[in-house]
Amino acid sequence: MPNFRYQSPDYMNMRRGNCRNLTAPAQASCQTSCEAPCRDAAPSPVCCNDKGGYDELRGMPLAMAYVPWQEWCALYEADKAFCRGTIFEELDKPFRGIGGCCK
Amino acid sequence: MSEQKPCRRELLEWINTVSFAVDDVKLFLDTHPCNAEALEYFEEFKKQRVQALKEYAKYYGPLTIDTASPCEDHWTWIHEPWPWQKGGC
Amino acid sequence: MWNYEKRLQYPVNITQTNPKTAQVIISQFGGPDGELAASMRYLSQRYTMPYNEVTGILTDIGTEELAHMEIICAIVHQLTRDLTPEQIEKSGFDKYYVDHTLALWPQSAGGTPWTATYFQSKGDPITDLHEDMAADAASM
Repeated sequence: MPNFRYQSPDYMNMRRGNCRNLTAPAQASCQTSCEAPCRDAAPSPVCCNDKGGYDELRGMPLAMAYVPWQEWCALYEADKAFCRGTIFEELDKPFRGIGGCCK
Repeated sequence: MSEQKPCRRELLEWINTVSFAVDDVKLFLDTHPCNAEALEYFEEFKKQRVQALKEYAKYYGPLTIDTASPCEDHWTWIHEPWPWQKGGC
Repeated sequence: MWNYEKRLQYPVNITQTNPKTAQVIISQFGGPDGELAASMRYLSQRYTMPYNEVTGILTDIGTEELAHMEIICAIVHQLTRDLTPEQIEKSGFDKYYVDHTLALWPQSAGGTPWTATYFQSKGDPITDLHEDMAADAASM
């Protein structure tokens, strides 16, 4: 499994997921000196985690953290559960060392 | 009818296994107190655990205060090795 | 109140001593991300939770963390069991030994004594639960 470093361009691109707006916008940036006010330029959004319009938490209040509700499912046999440290397969998340990965 | 003395190590492994199942489902039930499947799972493994603890205490000494037998002529609780010692669990 | 069960939640049978490893593992006992801190965090926060479900789970997790603490202590104990003075000095474990011999004392691997500053218990349920999630992630 690849070991992603958090700040590498590859990792950030993968997090954004095929985002179309990664390249710099064609129009002049307002940071350079410009005579005309920049308000006429269409804002070019910096792509941040574009989910393509689908967000599981759409409509929920902002500035809150949410935790999904666990269901009763996918139980291990008792012997395996004891070895894995959980009776729930969904909670079997082995430690993989540094770097982490997207799942 | 003679009872066969169970293997200590195997019985302890079984106690660990069923007790762990009880521990984990207990946490699930804390936040899902009405889940019928979880309640059933708890009942089953609790039954196994109680039975196993009783059997262990009979042959190898008590693991819990509730299985310490008052019929013994000495206090067996302190006699078997402690869990971090050789021969403990 | 608490009962005690005379077994480890997971067995520990170490046959080869290793004081260097013990010096590191002891952080899981008395360090900032260790089991003692975890246990005290949950057992302290549970008094001000507004729902029985949450009080229940904090009580039960806090209790289980005490059992985990016992496992860690068993590991450190077995890694340092019957060490000779030469082994103690050679491994760097002498700095711990001089103050505690082979006893278990809650400190981090670096020698910082365990402190309640390793956790927070603020009384606001959302704050406390965030603390719990951060702590659990840190301990992994």
